[in-house]
Amino acid sequence: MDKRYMALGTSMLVLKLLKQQSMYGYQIIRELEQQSQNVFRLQEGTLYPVLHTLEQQGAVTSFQQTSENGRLRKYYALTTDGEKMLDEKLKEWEIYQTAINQVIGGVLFE
Amino acid sequence: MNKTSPDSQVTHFLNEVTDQISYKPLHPSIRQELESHIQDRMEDYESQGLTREDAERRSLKDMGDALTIGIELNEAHKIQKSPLLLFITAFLLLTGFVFSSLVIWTPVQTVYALLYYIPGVFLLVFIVLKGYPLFIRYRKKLAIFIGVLYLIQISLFMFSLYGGRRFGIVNTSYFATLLLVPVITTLLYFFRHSKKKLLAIFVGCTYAWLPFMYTDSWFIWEIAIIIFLLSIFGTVCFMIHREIMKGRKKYLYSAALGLLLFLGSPLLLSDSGKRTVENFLFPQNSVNRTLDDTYNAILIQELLSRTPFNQGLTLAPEEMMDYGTGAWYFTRITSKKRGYDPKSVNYKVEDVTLWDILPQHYYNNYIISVFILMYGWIAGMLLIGVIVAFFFLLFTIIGRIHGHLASSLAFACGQCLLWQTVFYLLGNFGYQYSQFPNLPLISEGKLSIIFNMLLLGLIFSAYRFDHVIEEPVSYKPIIS
Repeated sequence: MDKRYMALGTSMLVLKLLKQQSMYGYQIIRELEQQSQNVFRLQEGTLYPVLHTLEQQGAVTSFQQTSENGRLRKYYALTTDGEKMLDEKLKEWEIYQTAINQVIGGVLFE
Repeated sequence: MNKTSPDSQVTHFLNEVTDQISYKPLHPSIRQELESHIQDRMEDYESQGLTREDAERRSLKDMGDALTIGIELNEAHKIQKSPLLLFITAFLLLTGFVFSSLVIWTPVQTVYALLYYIPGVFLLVFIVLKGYPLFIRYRKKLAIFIGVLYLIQISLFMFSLYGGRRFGIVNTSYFATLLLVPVITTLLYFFRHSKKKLLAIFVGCTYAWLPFMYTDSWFIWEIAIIIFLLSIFGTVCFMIHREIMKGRKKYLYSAALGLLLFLGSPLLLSDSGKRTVENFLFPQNSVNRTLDDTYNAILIQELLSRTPFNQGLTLAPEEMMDYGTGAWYFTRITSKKRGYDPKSVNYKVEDVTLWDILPQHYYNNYIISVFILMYGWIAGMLLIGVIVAFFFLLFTIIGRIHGHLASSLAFACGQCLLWQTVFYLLGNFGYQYSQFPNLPLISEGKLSIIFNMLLLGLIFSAYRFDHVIEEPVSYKPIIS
């Protein structure tokens, strides 16, 4: 798959999850695995460059909280700019998906 | 919480990640975040029955390649540079330094040129490397310090106004007015979510502002006021455009324009304001003697009109005496309207030079026109072209700054530099609005070089650290 669409897919999934609630990095990974029934298993460390880039773009904001076991966790929350970005990425993904379906559909019909 | 030992595989993994990240102050927070993730994963594996060693091994495998993660994090947090802009800045500073040494009337002034520019360059480098991070880190202490400075400035105003004694504050009031641009921009940013606080700032500033505006006092610099108003208006529009200030854009733009007209109205409606505008647009209407700024404007226009495109101005000695004494204007053009005493000069026709006849009171104010007079219009336009290119690049990099506070602050500082340049250039073509500002980088004095290097340094620093430093007040999350 084109690297660009992989990056699009990853950031889109992250934004979609953060739209549901604020999460920390490991929580995002676990939610992704559970909600996709283990279809999406990212190289976990590669999530963080995505999160940091989204934060610089203003799509997410971060805050720290200490968990019950004393571990300091950095949570990420979606911003209003992030919501707009998610909408744009969903549209872009829809175009990509439609194009793939048209090609696959074309081959099958032949 | 399990602590990671220095020799563990987790520590090695984290070291390999952070070794790829060039900005070292970020290492602790990135290490902490990744370590927390790894510990969470290890706990999960251990709860599934794995030994600690196996859990650690599997968790690190799940994380992926440390080198790749580090490189991608470094890419996300890289320090930005603009080599071309730095080159043009250095060129303009060198031009200014050379010219300050040339357009000097006494050896003492040559020493002053060295004293202004060399520390100015050091200050610029320091602010570029440290300015924005220090501003973010110590912003509250800085706010108190600046507040105290303004209290002292206002006190000096009051003593001078009512005590009748000048406390040498004339130049500082110019910079105090311009410094309000980044100060108010920062206040607008931090209070942008609170309409009541914004309104309080506006009312407070207006009630402090208007009495000074309507006081016809020698320490009020109209040029500083107009630069301040245009810079703040431009910056507010920028913040509205970038949605840093939220609300219906039509109303926000209208409010900003209304504020500009309201606060700027004394510049057009007061007696001194009307005189200033008339002198700016029609200098020939109020020339009485060679010492007048309006006479300088007329003289510069006359000399520039006689300068060729491809070489410097050459005049006969008799012509230069004419210009030097003011006879060219007062006897030929105005002799029918008023009497005229030729200006007394200490040079003779045998040894008169171009430097003798140029406006001598403010030699540093005519650097651009002197350059054109010396080398011709083509050379002058090339220099102005470099200045234009400088500002084009400057605002291009400002446009690339993502952070809301960083971009607003950089834009405000850029506006201050830009409007100083615009009014300086206008003055150099004979359209002087009130007092002369400085030409950033090229025509500087003691305080102005410190101030303009601070502004320019903040712009470079904000751009440099835009991907690295987190802003103190983040965006309002839609879900917490």
